[in-house]
Amino acid sequence: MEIYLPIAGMPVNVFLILGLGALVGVLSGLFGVGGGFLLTPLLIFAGIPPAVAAASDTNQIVAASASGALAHKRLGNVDVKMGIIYLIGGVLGGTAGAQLVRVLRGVGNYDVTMKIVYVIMLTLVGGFMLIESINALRGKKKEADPNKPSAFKRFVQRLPLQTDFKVSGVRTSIIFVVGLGFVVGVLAALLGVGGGFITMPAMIYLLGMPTIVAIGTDLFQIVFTSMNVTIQQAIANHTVDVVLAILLFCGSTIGAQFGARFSKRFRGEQLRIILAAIVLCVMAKLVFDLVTTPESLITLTAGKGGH
Amino acid sequence: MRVLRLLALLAGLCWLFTPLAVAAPAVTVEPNTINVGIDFTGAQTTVKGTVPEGAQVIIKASAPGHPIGLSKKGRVGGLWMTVESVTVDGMPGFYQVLTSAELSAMPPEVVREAGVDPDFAALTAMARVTAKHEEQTVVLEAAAAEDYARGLIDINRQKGLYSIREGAVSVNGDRFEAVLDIPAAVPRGDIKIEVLAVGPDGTVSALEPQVLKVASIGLVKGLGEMARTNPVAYGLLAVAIALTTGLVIANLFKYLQKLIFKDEGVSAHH
Repeated sequence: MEIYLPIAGMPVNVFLILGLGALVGVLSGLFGVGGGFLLTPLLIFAGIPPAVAAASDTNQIVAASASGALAHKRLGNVDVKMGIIYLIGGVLGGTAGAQLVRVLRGVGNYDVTMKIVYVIMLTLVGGFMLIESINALRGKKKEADPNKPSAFKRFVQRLPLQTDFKVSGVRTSIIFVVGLGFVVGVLAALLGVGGGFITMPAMIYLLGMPTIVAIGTDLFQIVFTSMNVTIQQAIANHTVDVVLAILLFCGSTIGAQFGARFSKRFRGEQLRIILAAIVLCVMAKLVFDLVTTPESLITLTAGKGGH
Repeated sequence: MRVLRLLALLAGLCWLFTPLAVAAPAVTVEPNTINVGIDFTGAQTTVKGTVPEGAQVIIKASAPGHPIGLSKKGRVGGLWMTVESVTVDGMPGFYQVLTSAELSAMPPEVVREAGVDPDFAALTAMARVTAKHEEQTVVLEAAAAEDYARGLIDINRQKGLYSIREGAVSVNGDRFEAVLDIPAAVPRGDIKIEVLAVGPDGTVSALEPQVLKVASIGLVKGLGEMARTNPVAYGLLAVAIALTTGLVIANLFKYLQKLIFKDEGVSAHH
């Protein structure tokens, strides 16, 4: 069964899109991650133009994170002060990111830029997960000395505008929180991700927030950052395909139910090795696409002309 | 007054019967409208009509194009990226030629005049390729321009927008018939369908051109137009739809889980 995507301007197989959504949904249910960072590359592999894939994925993230954010808010897991300060950066970053996408598309180098950034991100995320879970399986524990904070932590502690965040029980600089939000906002627009793979480690390891508050606050900021990026992409790039987004969301919701049930049968480290392997495979395919000679050296410049 | 009325009636009758007086149009396109809706995967339309007996038939279906941005990829530090961006103007958005015989079997001057050469030479000649160098628009010289025009032709052939199908028109006595394949990527607007009859002696007569309308309908039209003309409202709508769907489906699943598994369900974030 085919469906014509109004904004992408092409027919796609409904079951292929639902299936991709479901696959990423299973993974997110299994691992408790958002999965946006896998969905955009998979959509590109399926032939969706990269800019439409990223912007529609962001639109899908709005749907996927809304109910979780609401639930965590009700349970008191959201540090609203942290979330709002983070969002100042997130909204600025998302708006700047959508403009960056527009400029890059205009010169015909959006695709290659986003793929390079993806390769870097996926290598870091996949590599880190792989090393960590192999160490965990071997029974090694990372020796962290709480009395000796890292150079980066000491740098953050010296930044001005230090503030207490009572819900998280941490004290840090507003500049750091806004800056982090800005980076994640730019990446959200450029790659079509929620950015949990940056926000979560930063909140837990760098700021020392309790995991559950980090999850709640991350979901809270993701809802608003993705809402802003969706609107900015619609304005700057006309790349948000809401039909594609809803199809993906339906697939991923169904997949997540199965994923969450499967996850009880595996050990955390085993799961993380599998996820790391998947992430590294997607990364390898992107590298392959970047270095192999394209079929045709002359291509359409996205965002110009067309119908 | 009565005379006037009678005259008016006569005039009306004349007007009514005029179409019957001349022969039906020599070319019919059926269907003559293509609707691009949410289930659109491409379409077909039949072009048929009458030509003098013994004539060969050339059908040319074309639609005007817009300026198209093209990028040339080159290797930069091992990666393939855009090294030059140009704008190509003057190439049709849709261009299909169907013939009843090999083009090589037709008089070359006819083929040239109709602009239906098998290698799309007529199109490359029409292309105007410009590049922007430091805020100045430069028209590319012929050889470089042809590279880009060829590139665009290849892209459009792959999308099914450009094609030359020799022998795709069947002629039976004075009747001809052909099926046009309209690909999913078809541009919206009018496609002009011209039919040439090439007599055995090489005389060419053009039949009355017809129009095939291609229009978006339903959701494709509504969302497509909104995204173009009112992107802010479209963005807000996309967000509203996502929020509503997200909350409704999440609650639906919680309810289903309670029903099926008799538990509180599993949160995606636990």
